[in-house]
Amino acid sequence: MTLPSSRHGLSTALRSLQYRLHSSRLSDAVTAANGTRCLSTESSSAGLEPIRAAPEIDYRAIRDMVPKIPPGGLDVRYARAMPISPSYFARTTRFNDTYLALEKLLKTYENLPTIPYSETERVVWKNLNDFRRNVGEPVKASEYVKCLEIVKRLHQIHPKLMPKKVKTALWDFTRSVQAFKAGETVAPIDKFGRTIGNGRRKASTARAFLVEGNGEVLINGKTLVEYFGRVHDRESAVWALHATGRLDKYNVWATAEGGGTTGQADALTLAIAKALMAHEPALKPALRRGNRLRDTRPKEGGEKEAWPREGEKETYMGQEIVLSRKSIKWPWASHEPPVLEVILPLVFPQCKPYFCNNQATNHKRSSPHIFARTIYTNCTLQHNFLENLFFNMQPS
Amino acid sequence: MIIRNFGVRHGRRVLAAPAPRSFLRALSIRTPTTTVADPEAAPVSATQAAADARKRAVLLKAEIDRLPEEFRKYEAYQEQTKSLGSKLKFRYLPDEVLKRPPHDVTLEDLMAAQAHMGHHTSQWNPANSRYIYGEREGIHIISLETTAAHLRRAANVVESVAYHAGLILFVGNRKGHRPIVVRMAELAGACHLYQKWTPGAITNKDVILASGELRVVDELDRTLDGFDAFLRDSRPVSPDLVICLNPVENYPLLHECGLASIPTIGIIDTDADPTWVTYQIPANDDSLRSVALIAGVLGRAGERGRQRRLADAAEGKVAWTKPHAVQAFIQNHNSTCRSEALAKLEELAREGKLKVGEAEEIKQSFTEESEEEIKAQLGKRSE
Repeated sequence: MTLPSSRHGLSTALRSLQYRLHSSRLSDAVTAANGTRCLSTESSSAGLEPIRAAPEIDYRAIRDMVPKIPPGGLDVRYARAMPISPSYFARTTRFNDTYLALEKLLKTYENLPTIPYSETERVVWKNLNDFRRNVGEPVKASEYVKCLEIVKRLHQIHPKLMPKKVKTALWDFTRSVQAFKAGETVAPIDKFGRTIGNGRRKASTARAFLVEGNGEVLINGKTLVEYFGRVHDRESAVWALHATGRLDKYNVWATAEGGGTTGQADALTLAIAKALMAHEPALKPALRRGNRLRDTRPKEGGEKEAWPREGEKETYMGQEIVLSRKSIKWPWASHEPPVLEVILPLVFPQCKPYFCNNQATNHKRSSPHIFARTIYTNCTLQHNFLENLFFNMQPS
Repeated sequence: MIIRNFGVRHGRRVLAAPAPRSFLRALSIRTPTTTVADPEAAPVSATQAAADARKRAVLLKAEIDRLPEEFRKYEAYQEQTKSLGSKLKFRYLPDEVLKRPPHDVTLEDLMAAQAHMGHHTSQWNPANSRYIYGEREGIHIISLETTAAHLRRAANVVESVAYHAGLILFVGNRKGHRPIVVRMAELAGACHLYQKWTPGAITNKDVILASGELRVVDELDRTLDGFDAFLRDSRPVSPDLVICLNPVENYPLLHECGLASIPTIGIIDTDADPTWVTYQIPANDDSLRSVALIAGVLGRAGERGRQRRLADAAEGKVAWTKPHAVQAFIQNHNSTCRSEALAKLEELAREGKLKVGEAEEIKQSFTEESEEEIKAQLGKRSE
């Protein structure tokens, strides 16, 4: 019985209660008519009827009629709290329930015909982190792998014969966003023959317009050389064109804003790569191989770049070079000797100048007074030459 | 310098370039193995290979499309020929003991399940000497008569706990225990644990099991409504009986049970400490067959107890009472509702919408409390 909210509701409820009480108390001889009580002394019917005993009083009915519980109260004789899941005492209750249910499903529908996994509808399954976030439990990776195996086996059931139960069970493991279903969107080429691409890196954003041409690059109205002082930045900005051998086949007009030069250069890399993709979609694998379609570098706090070892091989501009680590020390305390970046490309046209900042790589090798830079060169001879050069270039 | 650079550049290139193949072949000491091309086989061109691949894909797709119809035919055929052939009366199925666990065991069953095999004699725990029948081939042999007797006693305990609506927990966290504990928990309407026991899930349950979900059930195990507030504030539950299939690895659990006075049943091998559990079942705990058999008997006992409880409850016979927390919640809730209703009645009476007698009558109708208590409550209200 619920408690009536309005006063009118309450009064009607009370009336009905009252009526039920009266009717239970008054015997058949006492009748209630129009709310007034009257005792009739005359028999209503003319003929004599055999005297019958009153029916037995049903005490249970009367007891049930009288509510002992107030409106809104709980009328419960037996109640106890029980766990909902049989895995209540396990650390991963929900996951265990899911897993056992899947196992049961597999056992039930083991004999349904399956198709090769490659022929099934392509589905992106939730990864461990997604699933952990969903169930909020510290699911073990090894157990989740086993679970996914069952999921994939169930997914192999022929789609026309797959029971609805299986479909709903698998739904828990599919990602909400299915990348395959979206299809590929190719940026259009506008009426001037331009394509547009956007890129972001650190705090920088860049947008590049690519049009067929002869290799001119304008960034914020300046040429590449004017805009980027560092050779590394210049190279990385047009890396997508460079890596695919399209440097002299397109003109770039780009805007870059926010952040520093490195960020802008890398943002431009992505922007130009995307714009190039719109012109030539077939270049996607090549660009992907060079990691130019996505910024795959670890974010801050991730694993640090490893220190290259002596004699380690590296490819630079399609050529294999041998690294030799030589430390050049110069006595003046300058963190960014600008001359180095200007001079090095002139001296070493073929080698890759590699500036390894000791702080960035977490190697505490610098002394407080002498700032050490490590330069990778391909030739000891040149290295000596460079050393002499630097020692002769002390600032006045 | 120019010459030097030239030498550096081009000299390296020459060295870096891989040696020509013909040269390598000349160096090789292995006899060249040339496959003689089948003169009748036509050379396969790239386009031809692609065409073949396409053809194969089409064929595969057609085969996949045919599958449902073929499966239906297969099923119909199976149905038709079901009654044909001979019938095997009995054959050994490894998971038979899980599918249909026995209600009781014979000594032969136990022997067949290798329940009598103990550990190497050097590994024994002398406290188990009364369960040990003898020594053979360097291992102790457990007395199966003792095993059977202890198993029946434990089964009685499980049945009784299930009959009194206790919460039973089956624990077995060795490799291969999962299907056993899951099945037995399913039979007995109990909980199972096949992973590591979280230390503190009994002694520190308010923290460890805080996120565990509960429901309130009545005598017929139907979920009751109206207990949301109770479930929000109630403490997590602890098991009333713990059945452990491998006590050797579960000391933290058994210790907690001891601290919380929760009875435990355990399979005690000759190397285990029998004092860790309340009700010992001396048997081999390393054989999955032995463990499955013993757990099966206990699961069946739980099932019997549960069925008996539900059957009695349907006839109005209930052997358990409300826990104190639930009782207190219901009383609190009802007294709140009662005072609210009385307040409304009072309000109606003040406004003259009820006659004097009527109000009193209604009050008595929905209260179990005496007149004095009502008056006291009304007095409290008016203050």
